Amino acid sequence: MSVIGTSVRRADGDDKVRGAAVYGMDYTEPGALTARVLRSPVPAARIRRLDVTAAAAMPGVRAVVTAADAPGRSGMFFALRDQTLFATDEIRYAGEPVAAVAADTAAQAEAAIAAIELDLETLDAVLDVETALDDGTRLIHPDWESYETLVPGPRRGNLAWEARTERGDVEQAFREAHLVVEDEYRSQRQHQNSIEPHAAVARYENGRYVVHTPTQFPFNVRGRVAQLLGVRPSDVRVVVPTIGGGFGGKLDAMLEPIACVLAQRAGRPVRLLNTRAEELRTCGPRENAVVRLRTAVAADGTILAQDGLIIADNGANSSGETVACANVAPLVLGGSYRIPNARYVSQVVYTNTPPTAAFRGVNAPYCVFAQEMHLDHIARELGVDRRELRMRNLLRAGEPMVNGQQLDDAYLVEAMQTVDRLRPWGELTAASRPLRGHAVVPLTWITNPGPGGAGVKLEEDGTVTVASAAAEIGSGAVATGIRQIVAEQLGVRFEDVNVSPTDTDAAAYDNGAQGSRTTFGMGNAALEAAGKVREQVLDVAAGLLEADPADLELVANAVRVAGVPDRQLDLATVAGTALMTRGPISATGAFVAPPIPFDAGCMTGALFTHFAAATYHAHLAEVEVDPDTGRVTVLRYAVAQDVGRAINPQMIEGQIHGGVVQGIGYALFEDLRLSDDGHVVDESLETYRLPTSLDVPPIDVAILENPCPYGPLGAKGAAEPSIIPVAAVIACAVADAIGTPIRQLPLTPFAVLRALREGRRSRDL
Amino acid sequence: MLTTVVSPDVRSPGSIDDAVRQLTDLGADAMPLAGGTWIMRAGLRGETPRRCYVSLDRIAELRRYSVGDVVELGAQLTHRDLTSITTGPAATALRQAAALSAFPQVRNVATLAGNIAATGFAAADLVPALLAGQAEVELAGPEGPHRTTLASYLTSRDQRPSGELITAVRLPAPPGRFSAFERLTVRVGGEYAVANVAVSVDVDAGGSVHDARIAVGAVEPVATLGPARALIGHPVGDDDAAQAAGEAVAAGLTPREDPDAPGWYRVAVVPTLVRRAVAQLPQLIDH
Amino acid sequence: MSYSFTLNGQTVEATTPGLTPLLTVLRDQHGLQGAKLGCGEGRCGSCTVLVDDQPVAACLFPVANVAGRAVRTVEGLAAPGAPLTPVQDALLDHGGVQCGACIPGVVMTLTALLESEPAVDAATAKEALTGNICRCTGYVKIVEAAVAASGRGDQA
Ligand SMILES: Cc1cc2nc3c(=O)[nH]c(=O)nc-3n(C[C@H](O)[C@@H](O)[C@H](O)COP(=O)(O)OP(=O)(O)OC[C@H]3O[C@@H](n4cnc5c(N)ncnc54)[C@H](O)[C@@H]3O)c2cc1C
Ligand code: FES
Ligand code: FES
Repeated sequence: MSVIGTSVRRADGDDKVRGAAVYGMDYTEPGALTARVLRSPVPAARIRRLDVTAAAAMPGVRAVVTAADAPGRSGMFFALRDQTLFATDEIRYAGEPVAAVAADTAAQAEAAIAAIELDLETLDAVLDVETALDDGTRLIHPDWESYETLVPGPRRGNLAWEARTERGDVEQAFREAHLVVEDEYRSQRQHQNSIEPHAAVARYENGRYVVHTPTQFPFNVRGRVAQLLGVRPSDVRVVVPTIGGGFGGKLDAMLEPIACVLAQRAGRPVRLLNTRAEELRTCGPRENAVVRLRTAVAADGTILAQDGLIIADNGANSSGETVACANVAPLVLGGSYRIPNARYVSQVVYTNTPPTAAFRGVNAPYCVFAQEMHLDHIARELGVDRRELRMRNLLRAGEPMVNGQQLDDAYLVEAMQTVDRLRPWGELTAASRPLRGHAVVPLTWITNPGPGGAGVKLEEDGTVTVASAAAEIGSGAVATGIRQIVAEQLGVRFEDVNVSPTDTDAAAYDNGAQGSRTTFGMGNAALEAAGKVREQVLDVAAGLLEADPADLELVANAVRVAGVPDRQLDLATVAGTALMTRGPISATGAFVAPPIPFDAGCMTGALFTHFAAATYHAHLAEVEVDPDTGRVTVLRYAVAQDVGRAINPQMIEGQIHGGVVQGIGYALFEDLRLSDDGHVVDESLETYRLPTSLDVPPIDVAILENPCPYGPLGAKGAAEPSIIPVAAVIACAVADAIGTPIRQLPLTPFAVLRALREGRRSRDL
Repeated sequence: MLTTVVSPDVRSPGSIDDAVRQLTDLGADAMPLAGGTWIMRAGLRGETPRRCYVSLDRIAELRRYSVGDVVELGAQLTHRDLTSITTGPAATALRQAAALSAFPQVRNVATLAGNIAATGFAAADLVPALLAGQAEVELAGPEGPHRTTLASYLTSRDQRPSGELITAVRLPAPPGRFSAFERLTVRVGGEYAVANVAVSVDVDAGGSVHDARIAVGAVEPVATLGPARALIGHPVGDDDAAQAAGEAVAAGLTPREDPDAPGWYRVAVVPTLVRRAVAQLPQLIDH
Repeated sequence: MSYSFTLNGQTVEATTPGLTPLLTVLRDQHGLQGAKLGCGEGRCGSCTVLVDDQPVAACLFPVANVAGRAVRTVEGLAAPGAPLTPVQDALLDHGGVQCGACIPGVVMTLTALLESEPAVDAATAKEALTGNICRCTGYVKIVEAAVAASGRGDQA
């Protein structure tokens, strides 16, 4: 029986339920010092004086470091290199690292931090994107022109980056339209809040930095540490213990470079672990954004053109992914519906606020929220049914999305029809009553196309080991998916496939656990390597069995002549023989998504240009609003999701549930607020509310299999996208329930009660 | 977080008298330690800890309770204990408040007296339930045991003499008294209430309310009793009377502003919570 | 000060200031790293252990108050190499574990629930889990696992 499509238990599960798994937050090394970071108390200032002499002389202090110890400039994905590890002359956000201390004890490190003399001349803080873009506003990076970038991108002053996608003749279409609708939407910061905070333990060994960190993307951390410290990537080795959640928040280097430089200076291992408050104050959340959409439609609801401006808050520098993902906004706005003429401008803007970063569904949830609320506005103006309007404009197989990429396998109609079978729209609409609402939203999304390499070897005992630097973020991609793929290819039991610990020294480059790519990208690399191992096995076995390799099959940890069960060899015998005859059986595989045709000429400033292994989705929500309190209850939720091929259905369901619930948090209450003086308001889980078990509605899940020709066994990415449409579909359903459009997230009871009262008032007038 | 060295001394006396003696000797340097769910977060609130804490954990008499015309509840009973003690309808609000507060890990630890004595904790759930029920606190101190109303205790928490200790709470439970509790949160639960309301009524044989009290917590810095006159003379559960009472209560509130919820909202939901609490009462009578 | 209590069935002494969180004592003095320091605020439940069979947040539990009591941690459930408990087993069977950082706390909460409730339904499980934040799973499969482990098989 094939292991593909079965819900095997995760290989790391036993240790996890026993409490035996060692997470990044648990890891330490003998003699490790404790580190503390001095962070800026204000959002904007010039550093007049920074003196660490007294701190360095304090008892137990082994190292004190500042900007002078980390000369490099970097930026996430090296897209825009505007970040130094420590503030140099200028402070750009409250919480920016200024210096760090390693000492024998935490108390000593804290005392030393308190003894650092920092004299600041405060500057006017620029705290919101609109002010930042105004003429005459102080430049947050006066030297912006000197920064290196990965690709050319339009930028100027506080406009850190601009990505544009344009096609067709937008103005012409607007002139000829039956109706033009224009709206503006706003959204908040959302914090990843993995249960495990950021942690790093570094040591300096044989002239190299060795850092243990629970990162999603070890090779990125390696490269970023190297760039910030001014060394070569190969001077850094990243080892990954068990990861306690990431959701995008652990893609980037955060504490690692600080721990590395301290360890080198102290000559001892250094451990750095964030408190929850530090997590919330300083680790990049999903960016807040403003989305303006103007759309031209024909009388029957056909979209003729769309003009969109997305202004996303980069925060003080590009240490997060916001710049790198700027062009995701146009792609997601123009990826689900047929929009023949489009102009999208995606601006990423500097402010004196903590840098924003990747959070599952990068740059997309608020774009989809805006697009879908806006479509409901159009439906209202035209008097057409909301689902009908969507079905009319949905991209069909073979049609191009906004970048000219033809979606040969588009499956949006099927996804919409599937949720309709789960929760029929007609019945919901017929049963509609005040304060009850429903909505349905389609989505096209990407699988991260990035590169990855794997090694596969057959051990002398007939088991198989995969060498891979892919990180197990919790999704099960490494703990189940890759193992299932390799087990299938080699006919071995799932339990007989091991995967090496994640270590940048021990395996080839891997593009990280992001954009649902691990089962897809690493799965492909491992599949290729396993295919080569298979050939070697067959070759050796053919000699031993005196058979033609073509007649052999790999089943149940053995090689046998097809149809002749007693002519077989177990894999251990094959491996042992091979050792002496041809050398160990092992091979490597490599993968990067194949190029896909699209219209490169329509985009500028784009690091993401197309959707590889696109997936297709539909989400439906039914809500109820309490008119007296404004509280929203999600009554039911349904998801249809194309996964290409379901390698492990149970793990996929778990990803869908998890994403939907994170999306519910984003829709209803999660909000990382900044105060008027530039400080994070929500620095504990008291006011930063995370969904609890009680906030989860019944969730119906339909997994659709629409294979990808270049996915491993047809698989596409599955983990990321379920969060994306949630805020949109809930907001549309709430607007349906209260008869008032929604323009801002989150839909707290406060916001909804106010909307209800304003709606009532305007109806009374 | 936990890395900061926590060095205050903790004493664990075995009797009320010993606790009072130790607290008196230590004066302002010390305070009682009950479940610690409030005290252990002092650092997170930016408060400096006391030099010494006197844990009440080993004083068995503080866990006693008795049920009768007056329900007498020991200071150290946890929220969870309060949910399982069988008392009459006069204490329904208290049981509900205990059951709806926080979540199991806290309810298993946080205590009755800790809830009352936690200065600065506006959203304490037990407090409005006790206020509406005309509770009194029993105190032990250097001058011996004495008793005061909860309402007066709450407003004097900052000036209590050192050495004083809540030993028990007395909740009157006369025949014909019914009570109910409601709270509102942003999520479904597991967090501080945006507002919490307890209603306690005395009902005559004909089912008409002849006395009533409404207490509101979380809205102002300290829970208070609001005007409940509108309920009097109406059948128990009367919705119009409840609405009128709720509006009267809300009109008297000056909300605090904090990041948990905007002040206007805390006030705005009070009439609804009063109505919902009142609406529970007839079912309690039917039982 | 020195406090004596039982830890997973064995009597132990903790010599530490009385306000030290139980979690620190477990992790730093007894090497029991199953319970996690997710927040240190009492709001995530990843530090949940049982004191006298009831779930508590160990990050806020003063060690002075465990004196004379029985503390159980995730390490005390199934001995190394021994079969998993029904709760642990069901969590894996139902796919209730992703990153797993919340799981030691979840396991303890559900263990206490199952010990005190003969038949756990989904509503009871959700209620019991209110203090255990799981950022990964959306709770659905954890709740299914709880119901299954209690042997009712009713997943309503
Ligand atoms: C995350 C979290 C969420 C919570 N949510 C809620 C909630 O929603 N609703 C709610 O009601 N509670 C909630 N609580 C509990 C909250 O901390 C207090 O309400 C709790 O009741 C305090 O009780 P304690 O026994 O832990 O007190 P402690 O922390 O031990 O003490 C609190 C105060 O009371 C004093 N004190 C204690 N006992 C006595 C006594 N006998 N005599 C005089 N003074 C005394 C102490 O000196 C101290 O000043 C929550 C707690 C946490 C950690
Ligand atoms: S660490 Fe104790 S509740 Fe979060
Ligand atoms: S499995 Fe990751 S937090 Fe629960």
